[in-house]
Amino acid sequence: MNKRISRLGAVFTALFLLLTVNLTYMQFFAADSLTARPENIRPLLNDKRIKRGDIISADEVVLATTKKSADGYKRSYPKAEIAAPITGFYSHKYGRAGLELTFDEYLSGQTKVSSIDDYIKRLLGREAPGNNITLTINIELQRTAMRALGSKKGAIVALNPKTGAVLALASRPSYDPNEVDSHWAELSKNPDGVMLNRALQGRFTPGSSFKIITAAAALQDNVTTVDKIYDASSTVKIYGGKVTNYEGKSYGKLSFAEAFAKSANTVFAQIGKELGGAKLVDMAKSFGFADKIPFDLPTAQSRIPAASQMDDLEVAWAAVGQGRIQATPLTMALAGAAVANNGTIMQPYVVENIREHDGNTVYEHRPSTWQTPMSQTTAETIKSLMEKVVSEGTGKAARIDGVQVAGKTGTAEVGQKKPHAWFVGFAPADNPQVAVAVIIENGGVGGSVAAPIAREIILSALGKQR
Amino acid sequence: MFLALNIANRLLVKEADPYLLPFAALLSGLGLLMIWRLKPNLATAQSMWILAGTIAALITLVAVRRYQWLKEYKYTWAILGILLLFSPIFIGVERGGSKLWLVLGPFTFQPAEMAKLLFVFFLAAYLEEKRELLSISTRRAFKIWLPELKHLGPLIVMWLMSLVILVLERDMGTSLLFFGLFLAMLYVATGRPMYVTLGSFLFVAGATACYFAFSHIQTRVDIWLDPWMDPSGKGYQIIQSIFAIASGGLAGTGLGLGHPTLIPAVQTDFIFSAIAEELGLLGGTAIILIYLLFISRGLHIALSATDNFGRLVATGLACVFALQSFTILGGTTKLIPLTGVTLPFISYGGSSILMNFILLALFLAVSAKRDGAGE
Repeated sequence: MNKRISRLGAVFTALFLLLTVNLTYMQFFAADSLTARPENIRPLLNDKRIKRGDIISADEVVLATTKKSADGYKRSYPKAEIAAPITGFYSHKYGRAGLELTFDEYLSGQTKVSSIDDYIKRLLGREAPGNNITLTINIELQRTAMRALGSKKGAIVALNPKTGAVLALASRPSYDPNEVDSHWAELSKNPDGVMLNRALQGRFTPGSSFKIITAAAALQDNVTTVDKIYDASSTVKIYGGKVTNYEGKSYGKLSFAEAFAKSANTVFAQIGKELGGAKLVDMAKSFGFADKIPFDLPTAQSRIPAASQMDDLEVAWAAVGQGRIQATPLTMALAGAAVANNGTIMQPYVVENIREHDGNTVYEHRPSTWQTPMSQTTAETIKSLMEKVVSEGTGKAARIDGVQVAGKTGTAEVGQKKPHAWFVGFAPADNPQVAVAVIIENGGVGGSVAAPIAREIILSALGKQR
Repeated sequence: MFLALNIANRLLVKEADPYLLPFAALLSGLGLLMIWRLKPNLATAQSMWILAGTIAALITLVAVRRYQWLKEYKYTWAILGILLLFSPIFIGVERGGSKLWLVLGPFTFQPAEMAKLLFVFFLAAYLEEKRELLSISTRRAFKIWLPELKHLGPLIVMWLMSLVILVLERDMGTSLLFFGLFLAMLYVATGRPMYVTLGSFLFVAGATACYFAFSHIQTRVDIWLDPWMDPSGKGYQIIQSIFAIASGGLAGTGLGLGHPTLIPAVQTDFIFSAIAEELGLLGGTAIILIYLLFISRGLHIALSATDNFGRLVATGLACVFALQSFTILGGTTKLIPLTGVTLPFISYGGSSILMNFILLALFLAVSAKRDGAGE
């Protein structure tokens, strides 16, 4: 009988060990996926107990903060839709977006428990409030940019080309993050995509603003020089197709510099043909078309077809920024910044530093180089070309008395609708403080729609920075 | 207060097994702590029940010190047990879909708890007397030991009884527990695995038939297989339990820092989920191992008992304890379909606490007798 009792004991032992195995699976291996299930309201209940950190602009204006209410903490956005493209939103019901999403762990202070000390603190319920984030955003410039867009659809990116610090990140239409809980249905189903950050995730045909990249490829590869003369008639034939100037204008004979200033498509089509698809695509990739731009906020990847998938006609059109090329406003702002910063693109960033509630710094950004698409000489040459665009070419509307502005306009044709209006530039040309990209969706001609807005942004940025 | 009683208790039976009482004190103390944290208004009642439990244990200890007399009344226990077990069908009230409760003035009482112990007495006495008969009078067919048909009587009776509980009281847990207890004791007493095989086959057949015949059993199994099909309705309780356990992680959220009150009936059937959430994998595993240790001490007492009756009583008690704790631990962690039984010593509930303290006293009595005889 004793042998059988022992056997019974073995069965019970096996059953209980099975329980511990199952418990280990649930609490260790499957814990994260179970916690992430949408039916689980525990993460939200936990969040309500935490005082999230503040988001503060470079000029020390609070963009997001936490207020205590009857049923726990509630998030508040004093600058509402002005700062929404940067802050994003934080909702107990609908999740999070923007910096609230990408820096969630810092803001909530809920980084994984890393030490016994942390664990004891947590056990004792002495959880520290979340960390405060200081941005590179200048709220005055941000407000100017959002107002300049007004009721138009579009985006503006302004950054310091020497450091990569993003000074303004505007996107219209915008939304009030304070109203996410109360107006979720209309915000999330809005046909204009109010929650889409066009500056980072909107992809647009770049049009002639892409000629900065074409010029870089051609000059770097000695396919052209500033003084080389081209036939700039209204149409150029390429393998059974044709490339035409905007509105069919004919310029006669033009030097490369004049063609850049007047944005003559036919000249760039010839250069594109001569350069070849591979070199053009390679240059675009080193300008950031190869991958999503690494950034503090979610970005979309700018696109250019592989050289092997384009025939000569498409390469010619690509050289003028038309066809299957799509760029985000951030990519184009960085193209301007590359010229401004001697051919080097600094890693863009918007979070300057992160501090614990007691002031202890846990993160501080150090400027670093991201890409070097061209030599300093090439950058100097393109800078002089871009100065000419503003002083005597298509970008005259961006001219500022006493400040040399450099830029390139773009009028991207998009089928039956009005073209996208672009302006990519920087100022002052001799010591660039700000690089800017402006796009107005279906806004019209770049030189008359986007250039004046860029002028306003540059004025505001320099006024603040001097 | 009850800690002092526990110490007194220990002094009184110091010759008995030295481990069981500390385990029980630990488990009931932890249970009280959890109930205080989960439902503070029930904590006073629970501490009164623990106090009553220790007193009941003392009385039991005094009454059954010489436990051999228990076997003289085996049919009394059987009849009493059956009466208790089936009384709720006629005069009971339904709670949570199961009909298990008797109302006596201000108290509600779960008679099945007491019936479990009475059945252990009856089966131990019955099997001690008949075990020779049941194990020897077998015949050989196809090289397999087959019991004679007339000795299958008790098996059939127990099987029918389990099905009656399952169908009329809608209580899968108790049904499984009674039949499992019977099979385990039958196996230990006779050493014929054939009984277990046959019995398991009968139970599976019966349970399968019930699955197709009764919707409430079907629902339980379906929810176990896929609780996500109705996360806010029928699957709500088990899903909240799973979330609670998952959020505990390795070391738990800490006492008072989780959200275990999201689980319905957390203070009774689902108290383990609350422990796993707030004390984590470490705390949960510790609890499971304490139950295993308690069971192994119980079986150890069975092994060391000097007479077969004591041996079978201790085995039976260990089975009741093991099956009950496994059923609910497995149920709340979705290892097996959920059945509503309490977690011994920890869950809130008067009948359960009383029964487990009496069970503890019986263990101590059997082990004490052994030591007494050894001296």
